[in-house]
Amino acid sequence: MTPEMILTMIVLVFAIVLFIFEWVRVDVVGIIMMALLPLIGLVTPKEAFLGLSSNAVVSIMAVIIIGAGLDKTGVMNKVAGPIVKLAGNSEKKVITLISGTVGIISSMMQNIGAAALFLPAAQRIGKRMGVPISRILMPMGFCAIIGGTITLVGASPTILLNDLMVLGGKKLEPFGLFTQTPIGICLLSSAIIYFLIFGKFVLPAAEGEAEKGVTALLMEAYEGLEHTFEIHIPDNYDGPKTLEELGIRPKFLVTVVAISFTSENEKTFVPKSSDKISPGDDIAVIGQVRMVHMLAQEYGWKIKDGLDIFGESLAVINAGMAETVVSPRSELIGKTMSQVNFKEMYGVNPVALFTGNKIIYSNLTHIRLQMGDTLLLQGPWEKFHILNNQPQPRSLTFATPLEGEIMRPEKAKLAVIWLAVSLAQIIFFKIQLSVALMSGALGMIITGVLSVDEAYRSVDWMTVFLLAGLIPLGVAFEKTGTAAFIAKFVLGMLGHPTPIVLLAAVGVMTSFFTLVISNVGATVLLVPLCMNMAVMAGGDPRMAALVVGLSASNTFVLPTHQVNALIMRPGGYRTVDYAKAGFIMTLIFLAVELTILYFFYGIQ
Amino acid sequence: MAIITISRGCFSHGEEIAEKVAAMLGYECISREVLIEAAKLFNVSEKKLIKSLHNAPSILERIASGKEEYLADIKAALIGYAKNGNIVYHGHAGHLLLSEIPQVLKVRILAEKEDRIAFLQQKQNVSREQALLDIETEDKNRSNWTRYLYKIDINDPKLYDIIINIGNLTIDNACEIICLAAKSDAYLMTEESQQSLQDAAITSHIIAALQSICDARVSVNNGEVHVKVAAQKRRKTGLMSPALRDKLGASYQHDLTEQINKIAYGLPGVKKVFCIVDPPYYV
Repeated sequence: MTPEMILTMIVLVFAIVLFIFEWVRVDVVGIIMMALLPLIGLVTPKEAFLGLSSNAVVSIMAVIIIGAGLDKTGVMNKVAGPIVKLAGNSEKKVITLISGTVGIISSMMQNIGAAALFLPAAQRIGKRMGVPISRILMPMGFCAIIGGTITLVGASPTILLNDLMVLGGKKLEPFGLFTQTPIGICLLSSAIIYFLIFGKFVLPAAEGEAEKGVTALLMEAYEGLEHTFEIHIPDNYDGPKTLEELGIRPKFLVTVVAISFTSENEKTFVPKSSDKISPGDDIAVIGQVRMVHMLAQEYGWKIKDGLDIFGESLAVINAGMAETVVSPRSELIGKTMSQVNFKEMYGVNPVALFTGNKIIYSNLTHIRLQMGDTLLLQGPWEKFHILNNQPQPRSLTFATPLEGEIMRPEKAKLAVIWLAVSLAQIIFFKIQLSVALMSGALGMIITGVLSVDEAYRSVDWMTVFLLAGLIPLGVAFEKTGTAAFIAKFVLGMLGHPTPIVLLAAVGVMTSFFTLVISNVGATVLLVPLCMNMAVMAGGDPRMAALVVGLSASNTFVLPTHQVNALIMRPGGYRTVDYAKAGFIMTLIFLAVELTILYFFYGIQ
Repeated sequence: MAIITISRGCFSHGEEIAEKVAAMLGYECISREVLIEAAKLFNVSEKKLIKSLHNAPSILERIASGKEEYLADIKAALIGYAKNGNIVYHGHAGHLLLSEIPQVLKVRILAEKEDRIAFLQQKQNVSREQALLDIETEDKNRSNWTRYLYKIDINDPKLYDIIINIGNLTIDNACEIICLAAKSDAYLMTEESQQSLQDAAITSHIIAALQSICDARVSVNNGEVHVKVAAQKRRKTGLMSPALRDKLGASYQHDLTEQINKIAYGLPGVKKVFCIVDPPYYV
């Protein structure tokens, strides 16, 4: 054993201790390694910072920017809608479709983002179908984690592999984006099958908490508002009549928030009292169920099942309600809303006014506003953001958090094109992953899918520094011969196993390590070690690295892991549920992974 | 207006004494009712609750602290019963579950081993050896259970107000002694103690309802509930943009606050709820 090897081992133990006891955050451990290794002379200063310019780091920056671009344009929400509709009313179909889609999405995007995207829809479906939400959410969460194994960029451990695969100073042939895809797809399918067959036995029948956005809460707080309805005006209706003539608000305390004029093929989201409703039009209203039914009965209109024409524009991600307070020094003080042409100016609908101790639903626009009056507004999030970003003194101050962000649905096609361009470069032109992905991200920025500042803000710096800091540790572990030394020692204890037995041991070891320490940390420590062991046992070191990278996603047993934590409360799960359902999933994961490797990746 | 808990080894006439004392004082005698109530309140199976009162936790349960969860459920149901006073509880661990409440008369009944063996033989028609084995196993179980979950020795006399050995003293003597003690000033309910019992009932209910959801500190004073939820640890296992992290953190805080409010305001006697939820932190 050389002095360098002893020093490396001390640093390794130090890193493991930091990982286990969590005195500092994992990315800080990375930065400590980045500074410590060159200081004690284990790597050169240049090598210490090589991680920052590594393929892995550049790729994850690009991947998250591309993901943010897709998010910004609502592409993912467009996927979610039809999938949910397609699932229909069958529990098995819901589990398969939602989990499958989440898995596929998280193969290219952040897994927690994919899970968070489908969480509200899953909760709604569960409630509608009367299926315990716990039966849907855990399969979805587990598939989000497994989805990361479908492509090389799906999860941080696999993205790291190409930078760690150095053996005896020689770089091994890198993995492609889809080298591991067959394994990932099989893992995803087996997880879905597992829950379809055994879900009833391993998952609790907990109710969980129902999804509630700020809008739903506000509608509850103001008793006069219960729901948004879409109403169709039949062709035999005796019209056209203006809203003022119809007197919808004074008579029924129902607010019309959107009109779709069939004859002009136009929609308005700030209906004025002079707007005319003609036969064949559709309107969206907010109000009490009872009152809306009375309104429909009175005029012979037809209430539709859920939102249809306004489904997209009034969906939670695009529009909603916000509570605002008339600010001190506001220009609105002492004026009525009709005086200031409120709807035109702000592009939002006043729904209710809380003044003194009264909530007023009708004739709002003719009441003089005072400082401190609370106005409940409905409209597209975009308009609310404009209102919120007004310079001081603002006319209205927001009392509830603004849910939506400014979306750019018109750029959706561009976002998809740039993703396709990146993938085409990787698949057809064999261009290096980081370059292809970065060019896609750049394309999105240049074509205005998202601004460069938005791109910077979306980068997950914690993962960047975690990877960048730990790569030199992996390099030092291999370069100093420490990995080979420990590998020889471990193999001496194990006897001389066949490659597949060795890989099984590697899989089990990695799965265990990821439970105790960070998955990236486990990968960095185990890849050099397991590659050396594989070579000594006469196996393929690349496959050993792949098993480590994949098994590092085998994190189903503990609720502390980010995706598991996300679904815990909504699903009403207890820690013990993860232990039960997760342990079986862990075993299935290992078995499927090794079986596919054995039969299709040439391991004996 | 007292609360009496009767703890005893198996087949030591505990149930009989409890029923007699309850009849003499005109109190309600409860045992299984508490489990039924807990099962109903917290939506867990009665079987799991019974198991949690009997066997010391397995390794898996120790890791997941499953048993402690069920105990909190039972405790909440028991205090819910106890808050009106006038009860004799002879289920397991009453003296431990109600240990924070000063107005509880904690009684321990002992009986001679021979007497217990005879009682069991007569009740279940088993051999003497079998009866002895059963009694010893059960005693060991209970002692392991208290040692693991409460870190105390079940035979420590300091845990009880009265210990009565059935032998020279008959069951009727024991009942008279307990009734006499129950009527003494120490166990009288004042308005103040009634309020503190009510507060304890609210506290234990909220703790039980929240334990599987978050790590919360709950204190209740005159019906005013303060809940502080410690930041939850999350392990990063994948990419997450800062915007998404903030959004998920905020929605976690918001939803959890809503849920706590809903639980707390649903309880009788709650006047106001103050709730602070820290956002999760990543390691």
